[in-house]
Amino acid sequence: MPETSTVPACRAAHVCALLEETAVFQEIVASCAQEGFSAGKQVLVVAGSGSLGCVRGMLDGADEREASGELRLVTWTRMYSHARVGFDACAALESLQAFAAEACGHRHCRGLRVISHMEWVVSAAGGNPRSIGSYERGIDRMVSDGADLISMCMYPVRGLSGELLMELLSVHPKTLVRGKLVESPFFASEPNA
Amino acid sequence: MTSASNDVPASSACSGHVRAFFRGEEEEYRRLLPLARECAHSGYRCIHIVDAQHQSERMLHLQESGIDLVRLGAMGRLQVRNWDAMSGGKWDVKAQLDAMGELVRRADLSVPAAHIWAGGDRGLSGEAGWDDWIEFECMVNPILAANSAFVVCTYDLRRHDARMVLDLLHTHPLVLTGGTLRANGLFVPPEELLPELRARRGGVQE
Repeated sequence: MPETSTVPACRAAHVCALLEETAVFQEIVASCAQEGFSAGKQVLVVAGSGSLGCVRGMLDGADEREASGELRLVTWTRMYSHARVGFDACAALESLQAFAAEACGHRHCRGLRVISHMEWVVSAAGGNPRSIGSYERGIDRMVSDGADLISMCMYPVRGLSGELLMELLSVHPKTLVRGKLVESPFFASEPNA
Repeated sequence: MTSASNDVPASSACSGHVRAFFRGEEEEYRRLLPLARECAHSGYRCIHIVDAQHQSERMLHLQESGIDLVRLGAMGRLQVRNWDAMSGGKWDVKAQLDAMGELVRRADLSVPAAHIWAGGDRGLSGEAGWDDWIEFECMVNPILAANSAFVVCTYDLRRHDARMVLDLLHTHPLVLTGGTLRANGLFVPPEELLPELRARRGGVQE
């Protein structure tokens, strides 16, 4: 049997966190952001505007960190949406690459920790499994190409289709589920397996 | 340990409880008929469990793939069963576990181990509610292990939401992806999962 990873979830390069309760979102953001700050990384949190308000209130010194550029809080509309076509995987990756480049050149930080609340995928405007998978595979490529990037992608289980879940398991090397970080048995397998 | 280190070609597996997702019957048959043919030619007891209305269709597919149904049937090495007959017309977890136990039981080692291809979408029918079905999938694991049985449970991915897919991943120690078996890191041991399932079914918060 595969072992549960001994790497803390917030230090694994590209993780799909499956959220069964909203409260888990805040726990993950708090631990990953704190770890990122401690490691001297820029922390980028992508979420809905309401959730970003919670994050701002939850993180110690959020205002100061935002002012210094250590913390970036960005709505998913800004990060992922294209004015005409809704979610656009290429445009979203370009946004992420721009943030990563900015983080590398930052005065105080080196590298980027991305914490994304992907709740929008279950909304009417959410992307289809192929386009979400294409975006997530792009993150895999950035990581394997050596980008100083760690990405924690949080997806709510409720409202997600079985097909999208399987797509997510095939494009994330690790999955955080039931509080445990495990290897995904579907990673790098054929998309239609 | 990486998942790759746990890879086993499906055709060489001896025992295990495997979950396999497909998108429709065409894909299911395309992927699993070669495995069924190999098992039929390797001396195992090959057992297919389907819904009653798909029984003749399964036999036709097996025959067309080159499996000699008459010869293997006469030798007691091929059965195509349906869930209704197995459960005696009324579905409940204990009766289904007993039936499965009887099906895979080996009186001694001279009896070939069972290789089973089971259509798992039964859990979506009204008769077997989803939570009952998942409890069955959870509790069947020790029965299969004790009898060295190899069971592939097939599901149509398009008919299940993410919650259901996770339930299935939590109850199967192995997954079939492509033609390869992999240890499933999302599996949850029955002793850990069962109390949660029962609490969920009883409307109790986990």
